[in-house]
Amino acid sequence: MAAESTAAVLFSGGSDSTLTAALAADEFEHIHLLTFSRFGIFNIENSAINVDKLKARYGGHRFEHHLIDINDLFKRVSYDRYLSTLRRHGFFVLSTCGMCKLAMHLRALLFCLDHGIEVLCDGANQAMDIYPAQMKAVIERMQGMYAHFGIEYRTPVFDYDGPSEMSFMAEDGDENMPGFWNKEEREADDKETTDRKLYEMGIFDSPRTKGTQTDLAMQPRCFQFILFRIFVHWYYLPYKEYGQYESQTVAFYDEKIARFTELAEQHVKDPASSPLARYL
Amino acid sequence: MRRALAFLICLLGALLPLRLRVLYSEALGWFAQYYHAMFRSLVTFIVNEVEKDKDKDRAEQSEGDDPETR
Repeated sequence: MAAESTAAVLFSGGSDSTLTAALAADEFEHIHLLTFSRFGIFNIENSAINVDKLKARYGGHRFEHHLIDINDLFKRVSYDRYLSTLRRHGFFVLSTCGMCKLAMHLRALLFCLDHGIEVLCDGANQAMDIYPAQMKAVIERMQGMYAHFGIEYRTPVFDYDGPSEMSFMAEDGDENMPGFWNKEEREADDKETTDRKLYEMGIFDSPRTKGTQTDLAMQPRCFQFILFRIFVHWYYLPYKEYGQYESQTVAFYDEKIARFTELAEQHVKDPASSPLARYL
Repeated sequence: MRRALAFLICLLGALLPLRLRVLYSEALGWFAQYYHAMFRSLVTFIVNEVEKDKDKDRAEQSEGDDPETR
């Protein structure tokens, strides 16, 4: 471990970002955990639960938790050149989760530049590749945006398995549910998931938390993915291939990322009068 | 039919300003959660009743097989 080395982690408090922070703690001395809030993200204070677990495991002095408001920035990212974007990309303008993540990355990028941090990590995972920010091709473009400013963007838990498809019965972690699902069956599942890894590291109490009430209680809640999922699962994917979905998503984010890289560059050159200044 | 419904839902979402879009998504989310919860509680109730009935049948059967109670 490099002494006095520092990294930042996009931290929601869920198992993916908690494992990302834990892995970062093996390599870096000081970790800034960045949790973002905006209108529509609720129970933001839930993210503190796993901060406490990380502090207990690695030492309280090594983690600094920041809650950062991105409401205005998210609005700018979502509605920038809106009508022309809507005309060219259609309902891809509803990919709220991807644009929220882009606003988070943009704010994290500026945070890293302000604090002289050269490595940023997040908990992007291949199992959720329907979401733009978890899509390899979009991640590569985000990495390009960070690299432009001399920052390395890492996704250390990207290759971990996603959880097995849980029946809706299992979501309460309800072992009393007769016949459909039982605890033994759940624990016998040997997939290499982030929550299993955290369990093995002694940070989590159970090898399977994703989708349970425990999981919901340890991270902020946001429902805006519903609209995006209606677009993807009811409107788009039943009639087109995943490949087409991916290439249209990448085209949409290529444009967004290029646009905001340019704006971030202007902000770095002249923070006081840049177009981004009033959104930060 | 589902695609037409999705089109209408998405069109409305795309035309709304941010705050209203967030509230609209929240409403859709709660609506989906409500159906999910209703379905889950209904299935749980049915399964529990079936299990209870099975247990009752088993108990009656074993009582009938027990030589002391015969």
